[in-house]
Amino acid sequence: MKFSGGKMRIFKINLLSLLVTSLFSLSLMAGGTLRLDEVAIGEADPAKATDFADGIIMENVYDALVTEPQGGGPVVGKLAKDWEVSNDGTTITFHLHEGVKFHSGNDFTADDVVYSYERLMGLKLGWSYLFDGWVKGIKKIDSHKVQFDLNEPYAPFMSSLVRFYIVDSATLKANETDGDMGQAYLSANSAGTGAYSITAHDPNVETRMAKHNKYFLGIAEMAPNEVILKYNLDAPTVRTLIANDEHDISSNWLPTDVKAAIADSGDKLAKVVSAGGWYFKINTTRAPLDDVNCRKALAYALDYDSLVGTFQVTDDIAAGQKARGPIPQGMIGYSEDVPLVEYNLDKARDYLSKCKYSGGDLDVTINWIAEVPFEESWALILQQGAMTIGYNATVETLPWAVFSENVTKPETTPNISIVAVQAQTPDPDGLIYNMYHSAAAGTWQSAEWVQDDKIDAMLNAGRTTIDAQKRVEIYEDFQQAIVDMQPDLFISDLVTVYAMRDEIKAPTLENSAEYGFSTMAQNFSFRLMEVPN
Amino acid sequence: MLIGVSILIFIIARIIPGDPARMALGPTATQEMVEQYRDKLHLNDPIHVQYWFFIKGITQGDLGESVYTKRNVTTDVSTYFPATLELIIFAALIMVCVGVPLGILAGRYKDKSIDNISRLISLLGVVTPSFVWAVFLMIIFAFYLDILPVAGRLSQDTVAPDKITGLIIIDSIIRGQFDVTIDALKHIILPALALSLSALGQASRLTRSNITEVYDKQYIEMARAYGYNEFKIATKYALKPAMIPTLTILGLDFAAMLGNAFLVEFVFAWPGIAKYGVQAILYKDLNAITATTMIIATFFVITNLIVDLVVAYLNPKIRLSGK
Amino acid sequence: MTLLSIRNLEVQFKHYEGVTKALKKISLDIKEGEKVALVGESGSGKSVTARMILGLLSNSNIKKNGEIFFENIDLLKESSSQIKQIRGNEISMIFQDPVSSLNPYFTVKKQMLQALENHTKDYDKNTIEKYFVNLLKDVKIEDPERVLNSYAFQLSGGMAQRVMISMALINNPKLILADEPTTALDVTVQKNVLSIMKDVISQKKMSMLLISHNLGVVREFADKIYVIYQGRILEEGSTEKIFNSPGHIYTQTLLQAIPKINSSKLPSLDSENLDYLSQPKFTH
Repeated sequence: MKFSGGKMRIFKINLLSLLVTSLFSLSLMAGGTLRLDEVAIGEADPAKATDFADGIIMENVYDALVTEPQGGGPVVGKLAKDWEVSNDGTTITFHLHEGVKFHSGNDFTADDVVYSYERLMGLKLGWSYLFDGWVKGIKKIDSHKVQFDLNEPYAPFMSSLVRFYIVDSATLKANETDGDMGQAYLSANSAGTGAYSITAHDPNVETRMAKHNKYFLGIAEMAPNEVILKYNLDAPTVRTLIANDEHDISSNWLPTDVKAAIADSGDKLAKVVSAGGWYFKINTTRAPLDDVNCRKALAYALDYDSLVGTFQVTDDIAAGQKARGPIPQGMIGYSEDVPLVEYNLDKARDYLSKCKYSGGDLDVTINWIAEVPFEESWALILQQGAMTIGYNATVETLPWAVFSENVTKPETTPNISIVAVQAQTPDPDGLIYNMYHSAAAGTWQSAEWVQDDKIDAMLNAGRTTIDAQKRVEIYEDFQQAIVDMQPDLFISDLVTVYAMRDEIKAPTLENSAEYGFSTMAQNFSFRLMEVPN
Repeated sequence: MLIGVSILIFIIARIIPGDPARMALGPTATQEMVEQYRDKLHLNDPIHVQYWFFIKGITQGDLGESVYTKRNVTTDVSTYFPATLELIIFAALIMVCVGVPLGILAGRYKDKSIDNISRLISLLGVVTPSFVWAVFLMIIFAFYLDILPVAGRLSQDTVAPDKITGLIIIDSIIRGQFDVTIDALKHIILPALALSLSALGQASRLTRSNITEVYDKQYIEMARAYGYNEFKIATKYALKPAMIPTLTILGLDFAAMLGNAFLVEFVFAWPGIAKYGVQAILYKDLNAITATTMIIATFFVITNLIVDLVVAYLNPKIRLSGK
Repeated sequence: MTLLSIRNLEVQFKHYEGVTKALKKISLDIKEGEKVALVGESGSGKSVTARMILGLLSNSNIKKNGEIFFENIDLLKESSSQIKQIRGNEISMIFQDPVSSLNPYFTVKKQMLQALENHTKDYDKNTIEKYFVNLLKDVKIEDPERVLNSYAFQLSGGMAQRVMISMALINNPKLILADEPTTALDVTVQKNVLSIMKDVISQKKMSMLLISHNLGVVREFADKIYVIYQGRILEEGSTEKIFNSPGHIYTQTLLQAIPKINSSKLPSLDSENLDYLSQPKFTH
């Protein structure tokens, strides 16, 4: 099956090209079927999407007004040609591209932008929180011009728009049932401008997508004709499927040894640095870790080399890179000036001696998430260091559902928990506000319970300062302030590694550095991939 | 009884830690969004009010929204249940067609080599969990031999027949799409085999012990004394008495497969209700948990009922005492 | 004329602990129309003898020697398909416990039909039920139609044994083996069943081997008696002679043990202490 299929096709192509070369050459250039998988289920409605799998669908089926540019930096237009910002920063007017077609064939206009926004805020799910409270209103100026009014200057606004996907208002209105704003329709269909349209969608099984030939940005010649995004495949299944050439790209969550085995048997790995990080989150409200010196002691007692060693998939590829602080490399506010914390037991003991707790008070529990088994080794590495300097550290595991419930109160939030956080927008605000602002406390992202006026002030300033250079300074200062406060031990920037079938070309994944880091899933742009037929 | 189960499940599902609304809305949802969603799911109401909404929904054929798939649970269930039903029917066929004859042979030729071989097979089947079989079968037949597919109900290019029963094999036969039938059969063999092996072991052991017991009965000796041939005794005269107690257990085994299917469904990416139910628990998807459990409970009850009726029909002692 | 003739039959059972000799060179003759009784305690080998005749004890753990002639064919040397032709056809058997000898999941009629069909497919389907009814009437069953459609558990012990008797008659056998046919029955019906059996067999001029532990039962029934003890025939002779002038000590002990009323209890014999085997076989 593996080889004969390929041979058959080559034979067929030869035969056809001999007969009617010119006529068929176009269709012969089309790509084949791309098959990939993700762990969580896929959400096809842009007003409900939040997860990574959802992000893959959104990236390909819908477009936003703006997008992250290749190589990083401020956002650039996508469905918007360009825009003007008023002097006070509260009015933004977008000029929209003309001639963009939805999957239905309808023309994309300002009405669709207005409808999409009203729909997002009406359902109040998904990424609606990015705009909630900031946007006063939206209005259509003319058929290809639309204006957002903000309540006050909001610097992350443009970055947030990356997650605001435009739907086909005419199609959704035509398919509305019981005033559901087309929710039922979008649970199995698509109404976007994206390079792919959904042909079948079962949130628990797979989403099938087909090429949208009239895509306004064009599609690579050998881009997949069809894409099947499967959900919740078991590791041995993925391994077998890739070996049998029945699967093309794995999810990041495939166990490291399985990725290594796939790479070892002639297929390849792609590494993508993602906008986020792995953290040991420290509950700063509970003794003994409410004392910064106790936290610092832990930071120096952590054997970072051993930790980074666990990320190694193959000799060349590691699924991590050491983090300096909460803001990952490549994001606004990342600063080389912030010193890297090194494993240093003398320093650790020094800090511990300054801590107001000692001896029997130094009981800490390190929690790892039951669903993410490799976290256990990290917990053990930290335990080892902590025990060496005099902590009495225990390691426990919690299922995600219990953990996410426990973190809603400071007294039940674990002393130390291991969590990965990914930025939802390319703006640092999209990552750190939810972690450190006192108003965002009580979620698993903010398991540190940082209730600090100075930090709040910096985060607020970051949001309302329009001047780009000033913002950079604010976030660099913030980075240093957090490192000083040590509410987290910074394990690693978030690095994802995907196993890929050798025949697939996906420059956005394989040369991800050129495409900038990934907040959600823009590296999964199918139209830029090449799949042999 | 089912009402009792529904109340029990309804309460247990709500005791499991975790906030379904928060799980559903993702990490970044604001408290306001969570509250609004909780209201929509009636989670802020007292539990008896929630139960009332649930029962009201059921009477209208509406099992509520799944926070996991964000679809109506009724849709989910009607999509995933037939897949599992098809799987367990096939697994049960293997269990009966292989396990029972194996048990008959073993019981008939007690302590001979065929008995020892069959006991070894049964023991292996019983002690090895089905997901181990699943991975094992996958490695052999899909990875090394590459003769059977590993994932899903159909190949990626095969279009499922229009739904009649939801069982692809049956639907494709009804519609005359035999190429689809063959493709579906290829896909079902490994998961069904993995699922059936442990039950098969039990079926064969059970049949063996019941056959052995029956073969010690006086009426078997009397049958021989009256010139019955051994084949007739094995297939009819001893089989019927031996199979009646076996049938009851086989019925339970069949129903239990519905619950055991989930790991097999995971390994073979089989879009079934067992896998859905486990995901529902992980996501604290209250409506889906309740619906899945109710379906499994109902399935148990119906299977038991059918088995009881069949046994009563086959066993004159029960049949005649009822009159 | 001799119908069945057992010559020097030896049977050994092999098992884990070694070998048990069940029968030690026994010889026994049954003439046409003759009713012979084989009497002994349990474990004496009397049931083994009956089963050897029908070849019911054939497996690799059994070693057998000697001859069993039935109408000049040696049953021990016949192929199993030949034996099957004889079973239930020329020789049929009545077992001790009638209720458990009938298959509980098939009606009497079905089992009678099967017993017939095992040997002939050539019968008139319209009259066959009538034939069964008559057979049942022969054994004094008053409502044969009901009994035909009954299952074993719906019949009393006495009724079931009468069904068994008529089933034994289905193919008009030449010889009927009856292994303790009344032991499992109520004392009150034992006699009744026994006399019915005697009548019907005499009437049909069949031969019979009656196996029993109870000399009292045998007295009213048999023309000739063999006394068996630990796999050996200790005494043989006509019923009259055995009862009037028992030649062997063991026979005398058995006669003393006959209870006043026919009992289903085994006579309590102090066989451990007496060396019955030291005395040679006594033939009248």
